[in-house]
Amino acid sequence: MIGRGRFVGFAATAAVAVPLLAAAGSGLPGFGDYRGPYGDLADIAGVTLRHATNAVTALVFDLRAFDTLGEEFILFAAVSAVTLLLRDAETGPDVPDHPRRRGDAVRLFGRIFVPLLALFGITLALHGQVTPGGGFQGGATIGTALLLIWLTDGHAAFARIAREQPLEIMEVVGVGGYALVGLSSLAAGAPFLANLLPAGTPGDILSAGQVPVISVLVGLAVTGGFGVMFRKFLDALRRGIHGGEP
Amino acid sequence: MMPDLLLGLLFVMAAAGGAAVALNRKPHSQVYAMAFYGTALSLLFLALQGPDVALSEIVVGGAAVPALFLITIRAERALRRGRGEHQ
Repeated sequence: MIGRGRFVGFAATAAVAVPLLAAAGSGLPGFGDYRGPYGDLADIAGVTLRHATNAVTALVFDLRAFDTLGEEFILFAAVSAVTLLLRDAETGPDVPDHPRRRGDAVRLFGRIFVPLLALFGITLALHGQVTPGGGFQGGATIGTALLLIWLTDGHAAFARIAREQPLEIMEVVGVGGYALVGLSSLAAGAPFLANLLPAGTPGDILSAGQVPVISVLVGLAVTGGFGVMFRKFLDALRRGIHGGEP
Repeated sequence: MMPDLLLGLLFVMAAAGGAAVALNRKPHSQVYAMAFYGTALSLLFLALQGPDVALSEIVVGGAAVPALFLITIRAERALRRGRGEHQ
C-alpha cells in the first residue's frame, strides 16, 4: 500500500532523525527538576502578587492575557468560518422531525447528567483563579453538555436549547468584553490588559483582580463558540440525512 | 517506583493511541483511536500534575473533536446515499 520510494525516504530520514532525537531526549532534566527562572517568577507574580491560588490561570488570564485574547480571536474566526461554510443549513427547508426515539434509560441518563455537566462547567469557569479549570475548560464542558443533549434526547430537544442567537450573543459578548477589559486598562492610563482590580484574599472567588472577570468572559465565548459549532454541524447532518444538497 | 510505572504505562498508552490514529486507514476507527488518544493524553497530563491542561484535553480531544469528526463522516455518507452513490 505504501509506495517503495516513500518507505525508502522514510527510512533514510528516520536513520538520521531518531538518533538525534534520542540524544536530545537523554539530556532532558527529570520531571519536577525545573531550571529556568521564568516559571519561578510566574509563580511569584501570580500567587504572591495577584493572589491567585492557581498559577496557571494567573499566567493565562493576567501575565499573558494578551496571548489569550489572540487565542479568543482564533476561536472566534474558526467558529465564524464554520458558520460561513455551513450557512445553507439554516436556509434549508424545515424538515419535520421524526426522531429515532432514544430509549428511556438513555433519555433519563441525559436528563440527569446534562445539568450536572453544565453546572460543573459553570463551576470550572467561576473558580479558575482558585482551583484547576478556568473559562476555556468550563465553556468547553458546557458546550459538550449541549452535545450530550443531542446524543441522549435527539435533534429537536437539542435545537430547542442550543438556539443560535443566544449562543452567538454569548460568543460576541465574551470576545468583545475581553477586549473591553483590556481597553479599560488603557483608559485608566495603564498598559493594555494590566490587572488594575484589587487582588482580594487568596482562595476567595473574587480574588486575583481581573482574572475571574476574564475567566467568565472566556467561558461565555467558548460556550457560545462550541454551541454554535455543534449546532451548525448537527443541522448539516440532519439535512444530509433528509436528502438535502450540501 | 510506583509513579514511574504509572507514568511509563500512560506514555505507552499515549504513544500507542497516536500510532493507532496515524496507521489506521478507516475514518471511523480512526476517530475512535483519536478519542482514545485524547483520553490517554489527558490521563498523562493529570499524572504529570497538570490538571488544567488535562481538563482541556479530555473535553476537546476526548469528546468534542471526535464528535465533530463522527458527525462529518455520517453526514457525508448520508449525502452520498441521498444522491444514490454507493460506498
